[in-house]
Amino acid sequence: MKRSVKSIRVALAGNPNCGKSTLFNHLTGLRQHIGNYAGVTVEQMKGTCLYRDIEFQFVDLPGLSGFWSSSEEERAAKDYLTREPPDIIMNVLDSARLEKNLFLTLELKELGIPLLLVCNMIDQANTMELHIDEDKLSRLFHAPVLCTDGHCGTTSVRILEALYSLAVDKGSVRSDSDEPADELTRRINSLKCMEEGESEESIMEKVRDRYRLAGQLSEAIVRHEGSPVSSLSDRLDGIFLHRIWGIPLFLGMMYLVFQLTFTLGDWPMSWLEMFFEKMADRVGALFAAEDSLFRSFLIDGVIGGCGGVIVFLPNILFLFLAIALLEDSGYMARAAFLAHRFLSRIGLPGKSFIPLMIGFGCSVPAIMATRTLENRRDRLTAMFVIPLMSCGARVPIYALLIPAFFPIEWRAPVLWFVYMTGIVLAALLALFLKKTVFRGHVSPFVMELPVWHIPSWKTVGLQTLGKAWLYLRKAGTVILGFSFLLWLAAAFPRLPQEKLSDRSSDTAEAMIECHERQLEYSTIGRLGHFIEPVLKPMGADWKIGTAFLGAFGAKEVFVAQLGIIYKVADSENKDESLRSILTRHYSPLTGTCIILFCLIGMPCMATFAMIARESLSWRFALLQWTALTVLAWLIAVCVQQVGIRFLN
Amino acid sequence: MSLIHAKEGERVTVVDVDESYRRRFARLGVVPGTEINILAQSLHGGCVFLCRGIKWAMEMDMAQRITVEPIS
Repeated sequence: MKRSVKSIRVALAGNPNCGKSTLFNHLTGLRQHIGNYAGVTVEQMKGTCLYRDIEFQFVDLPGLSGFWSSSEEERAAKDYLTREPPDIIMNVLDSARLEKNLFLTLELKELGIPLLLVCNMIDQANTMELHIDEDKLSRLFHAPVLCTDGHCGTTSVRILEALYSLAVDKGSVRSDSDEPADELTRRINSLKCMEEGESEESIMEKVRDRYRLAGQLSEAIVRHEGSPVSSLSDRLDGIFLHRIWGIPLFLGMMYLVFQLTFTLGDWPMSWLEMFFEKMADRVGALFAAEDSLFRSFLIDGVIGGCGGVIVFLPNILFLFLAIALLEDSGYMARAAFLAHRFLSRIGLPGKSFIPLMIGFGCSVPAIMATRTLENRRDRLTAMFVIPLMSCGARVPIYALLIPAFFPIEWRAPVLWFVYMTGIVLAALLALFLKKTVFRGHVSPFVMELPVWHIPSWKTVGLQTLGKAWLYLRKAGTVILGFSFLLWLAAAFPRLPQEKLSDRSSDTAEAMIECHERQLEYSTIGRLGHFIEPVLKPMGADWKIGTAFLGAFGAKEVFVAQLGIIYKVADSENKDESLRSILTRHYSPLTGTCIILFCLIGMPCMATFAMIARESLSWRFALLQWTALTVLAWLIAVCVQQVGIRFLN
Repeated sequence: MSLIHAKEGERVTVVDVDESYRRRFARLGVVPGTEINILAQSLHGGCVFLCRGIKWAMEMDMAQRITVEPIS
């Protein structure tokens, strides 16, 4: 028997960062990006879910503090709710911050649309020893109330059940009309709506009234079972925000993060390196008799390209683990507060510390994290300089080039120099932008300090593994694809037989010469030659040029591309021999220039696309890309030219 | 007095806020009549306070726009 399906529209509304998007995803099965910060939901998201005979159409509204404030998002949300009123509003509240969240509930109540109140993140409230009186809340607002934990499996069923009964018999929700309306209910119902075009004075008066009422409601509903705020948390703040120890502790933490990333990551990295070398040898032996074309594709393209990336997974994993730990423990917000003093001098708000920090892992999530910055100017400035934070994908380049050109005692200082160059340049660039294009005050710093807590392994683990998976997926898709393209471009068009050297001897030199001629004849060789005049002043040649082209696809491809160019994949010790070839071909000065160019110029394809998406402007992304590349070129050329004169 | 002059551990009530920042503060829940607990006045150019159960860190430049009076 076929039943007719009714459709009910449900709007999800709530304060920023109350776990709304998590619930929305649970309900609709959509993968919407969930961030740990306020302001992640930029556009409205829609999704549906069939429950019994009702199809629920969910709309996830951007996070709202209230409708009176002038932000674009809040106005858009209000427009949506008044122009095409949904059948039900599901108001998601952060249980641990109920008082502030109830302000919005009061405003939603005024719209006269049936409400479902979902007190989310109840687990957090429980750890803070807060107890919420659901019955009382339900009576006060004449609306069903659910307490949920966004991560719990049964949550969506409970919500759907509540929505279902609300949809089926709209009127009969806990109508306690027999009970005498109590004072608070009377006051909730007598609140006057804020009108469009009302004077600032009277709006603020109403805002104050609502806050006062929200405070009284919260007092009536929430019971503190322990001390109001965890005193341990305050004591920890006393240490980490200490006027003398705060900054050294902060610097120490940052040092520790990088130390952990590079030292702990080194062991598993060498295992992976060994694994891929063995694999290349095995595959090489398997196709020893085959035509070299297919063999070189497998070894140089597939194993070399992907292996070169996967090898750095441990480093990336440790860096993201450290970032997740800092974030989940609550330190990140404190770090942003401490960093504000420095960052505001160069024209960036303290909150941009978090995206900048993530930038050392990968620019793409870092650019996404700039959404926390309220001011568009601040956001664009941060986005502009994020690619200068040397990301994890550039580590392979340094790992190859630095040992090739510098004696062992110089390697660590050179690596530090590279990172510092990026940071100093970012600071100068931000300052320059703030003084010219994005003029204006840095938005003053105010940020919620979350309660300190011992990081949950589940959250930290999921976050780290999620990032690692993204990285691996990149290795499997973008980088594999790009390596393949580059390999194709290096292999075709084939050099005609008659142009091959006539003395067809089998000596190693003749083979190398033959390979080189083929390369020059190929598409990538021609492209490399085409850009060579530009690269000459910084000491690089067309071969390095082709690797730069590869680095646009993904920075890691640079290394794989050099491997293909110098055809060293099938020799005994891959990295060592590539290094010795580089040492023979280029001077340490040129090596430095190449490193600098990789650090500063040509942000990768993914970064470019993400900047275009997040800044909502292709022009901005293009401008930034060009500006950084030109800057990189200028710096590399200066270093080369000055260096040559100085060294002579 | 302004918020930055309140002592650590002191409980104060908001009397007034700077006109140009009114909406900004109101979004945080800081409106005249709000009770604030000062948790830390640090040298790092700001203060940490508790308001409506939420702990905020605010830079000095902003905090000095809030006028408060101590709750006796």
